[in-house]
Amino acid sequence: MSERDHETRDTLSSQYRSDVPVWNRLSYPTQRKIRTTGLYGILSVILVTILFPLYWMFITSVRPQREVQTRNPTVLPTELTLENYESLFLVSDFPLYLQNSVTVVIGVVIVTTTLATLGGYGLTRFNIPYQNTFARGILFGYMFPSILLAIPMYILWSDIGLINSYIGLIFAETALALPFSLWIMWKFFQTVPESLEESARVSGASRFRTMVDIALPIAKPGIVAVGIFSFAISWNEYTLPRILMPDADSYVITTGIQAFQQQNTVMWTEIMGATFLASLPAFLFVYAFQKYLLAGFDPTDIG
Amino acid sequence: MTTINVQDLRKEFEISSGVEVAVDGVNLDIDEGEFITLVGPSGCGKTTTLRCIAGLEQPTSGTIRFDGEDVTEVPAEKRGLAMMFQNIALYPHMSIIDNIAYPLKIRGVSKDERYQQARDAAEVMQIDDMLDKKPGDLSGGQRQRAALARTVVQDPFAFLMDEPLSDLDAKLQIELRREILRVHKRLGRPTVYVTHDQEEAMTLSDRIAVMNDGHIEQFGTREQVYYYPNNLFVAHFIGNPSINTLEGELESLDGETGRVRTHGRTLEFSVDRYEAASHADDVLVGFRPQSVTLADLVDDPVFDLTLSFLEPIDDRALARLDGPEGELRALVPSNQPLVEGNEVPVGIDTDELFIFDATTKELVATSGVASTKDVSQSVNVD
Repeated sequence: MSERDHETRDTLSSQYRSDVPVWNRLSYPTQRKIRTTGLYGILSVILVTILFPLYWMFITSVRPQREVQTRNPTVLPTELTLENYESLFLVSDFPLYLQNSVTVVIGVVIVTTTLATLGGYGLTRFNIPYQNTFARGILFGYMFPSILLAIPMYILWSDIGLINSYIGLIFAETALALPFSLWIMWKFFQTVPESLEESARVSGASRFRTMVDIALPIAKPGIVAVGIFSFAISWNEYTLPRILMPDADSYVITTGIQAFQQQNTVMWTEIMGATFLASLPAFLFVYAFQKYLLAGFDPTDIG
Repeated sequence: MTTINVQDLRKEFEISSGVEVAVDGVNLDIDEGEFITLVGPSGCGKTTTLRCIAGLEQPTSGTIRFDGEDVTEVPAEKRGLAMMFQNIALYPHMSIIDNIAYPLKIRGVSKDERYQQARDAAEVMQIDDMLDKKPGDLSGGQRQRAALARTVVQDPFAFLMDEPLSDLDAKLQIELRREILRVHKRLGRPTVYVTHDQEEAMTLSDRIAVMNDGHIEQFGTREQVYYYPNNLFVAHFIGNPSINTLEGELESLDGETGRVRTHGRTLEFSVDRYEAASHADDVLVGFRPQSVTLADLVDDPVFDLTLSFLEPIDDRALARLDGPEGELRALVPSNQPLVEGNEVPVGIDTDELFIFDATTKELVATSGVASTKDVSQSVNVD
């Protein structure tokens, strides 16, 4: 009897076998292996696409000039040298550009985080007419491309004498970074329960003390995220410094790198060296604070 | 002696469709060392009243006095109060010891001293082994203990509590109720406690303010609100399961006896309290489920009703009956043999009746013997 059952099942199975897709006929371990291999395959292609230019940038910067300007470039360098970096720091104006960039970035980060934190706190804690409309409207300001703002800014800045000044560029770049930063902080403070601050107030803390002791520490991931965001905006910004800092002495890194190109020859090795150095801080910054960055963009994950 | 006095408190909120009156003409006198509960359904203004006392809301009109001094315009941080919140409100970035010591830190107490005080308070609350943890690592009950410890170290003028136990499970609620009462009795400071749970109000309070729709319906000891509710709302709100009412017509009523006719039956009762103010003959007869008896325990059946549902609770069971005006509730011994769906004789104890005016819903009279309802002193008052 059981033998007959077995036989029937077998025939039924074989009868429907052709209907089962090939994929489902594979065992689960095989399916998993294929899926993993496929995923890693796609990942490697993406990685190579992203990493190769970085590799090329670095490798060009440590090659001697003649190995760069050749008809038969090699993927692996045959000779390594630091002479490009030497000329970058000792001959060119690169240190000046770096100094300009760092000054402006520090300014933008400080001004943006301060304003965004205070503004975000105010937008959630005080009764302002049309509060929500205002808060959402701020994000609209982020939609403007910097080139659209740059021309009016140039006219305005030159009227009040802020062209080629750190302050002028700091304000201009803050205008780029602030809308989104304010929006992040607005969202973040919404997740800090007001009863925490009320509890502190009943315990005797003034409103300001309450903000410093309670609201700010809880909003720290948001503040760090805003700091990183404004750093990235300012460090990478090209259009505004190009227009608002036209003097060669006022070049920041982004505009300065371009200057290497505007002389008789294109100095590829110096360009790549400068680019490599310029990308380092961004990388280190994000790497060091990535824990906060993720928490900062996801305000639901606190406490 | 009155320590907290609230007079004609009114609070309006501006909402998109106009103005909403959350609190309307509330008067409260809270005596030294008293435990007062504001109880009422959600949206009755009890929390708003508390927040006005705390200084977290600015009253639209009215005055609040502490020890006779007008504090209506004084900001929350200058009132010297301690408050517990429904969501506990421990600071998530601080350890428990820092949380407990925070009110002292604001006052500039040195670190050693405030930690010592925090440790003492934590020990009383039995959370002294949790001091270095963050609030997130504690259970709900432990967190509320820490929050209680934080209010204790403040040595406040008064304690304010905004439904501090409503997020906890039933067993923890009872445990922490005891802790709160212990703290209250030890420190002897007035406490204002807000809850929607009438049972919590009954177990904790010296006096209960039953609130509805922005005003106080009745303010009295638990015995007063239970045995002599001012009106139908209080009678409905206080007591569990809630009171039964039947429409009736008064045949006679004076200071001694009364007769009321309801659904073809006449109930005669002796009068305990009689509000002599004029009243119509149309009344509502109220009686608590505790004064209803069923089946073989009935001496003099008033109705014969179908038993629709029987819910055992502990040694009692809640019986739901198909009454002449919808459901009637009765609390019966759970070992009484009753069968759902059967018709049973129903008796009503005529010594525990409440007669309400049918139009104004105000109390007209209660029946029974006053000596069995001792209202002279609440059991919580030492």
